[in-house]
Amino acid sequence: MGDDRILRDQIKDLIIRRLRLEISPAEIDEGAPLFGDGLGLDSIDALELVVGLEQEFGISIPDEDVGKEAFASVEALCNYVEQHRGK
Amino acid sequence: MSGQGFFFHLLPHRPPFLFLDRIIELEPGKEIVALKRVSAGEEMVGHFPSPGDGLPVSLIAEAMAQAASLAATSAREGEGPPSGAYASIKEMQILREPRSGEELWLRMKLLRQYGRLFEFHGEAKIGEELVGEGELVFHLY
Repeated sequence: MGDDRILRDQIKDLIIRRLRLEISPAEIDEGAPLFGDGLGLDSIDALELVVGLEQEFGISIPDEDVGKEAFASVEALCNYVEQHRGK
Repeated sequence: MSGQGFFFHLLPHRPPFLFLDRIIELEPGKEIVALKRVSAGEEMVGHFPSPGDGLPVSLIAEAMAQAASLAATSAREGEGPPSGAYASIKEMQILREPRSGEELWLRMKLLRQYGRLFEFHGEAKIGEELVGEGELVFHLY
């Protein structure tokens, strides 16, 4: 399994666990928006994901503008984590 | 910044459902220390009345929430009437009921802000004794 696949699974696991979603990882469309019409998350969920990313990946989402970009989809979030991990 | 009520106009709460008597320290948007003096007659306020003559335990969380609201809304003072609501309460534990005559010290400290969401960690103490602790997320509209 490639690093990219592992990271996508880790991110989906984080989303499901932190937000207590009753879905399986396979049900999350990696290209679909996390908020609104996609996974249907809201701003409170965003804050919980910000905390989760800080605690589990050591990555900060400093404000909503960055969050809008990072939380666009699972794919976008993986790209953000890859770019900022270890910085 | 400190004061004895200069910021209470930022809260919609009024007696008997205002559970702050005095602001000891306030750093707008960041941290607040406030005081609540527990008096007789408050045991019947709230959904879960106190079995004694103290403040019902659920109202410690309410007092913490009111203090954190002040800390959040004071950062936006002058931008029109502030309003907001609590979005979540996490890992709240209340260890004992404050009794009539005791002073409840509330310290709420901002953990993080994300947009209009303010996440606070709070402690409620009587003297040096911790009687309540938890995290609250306030949504400023």
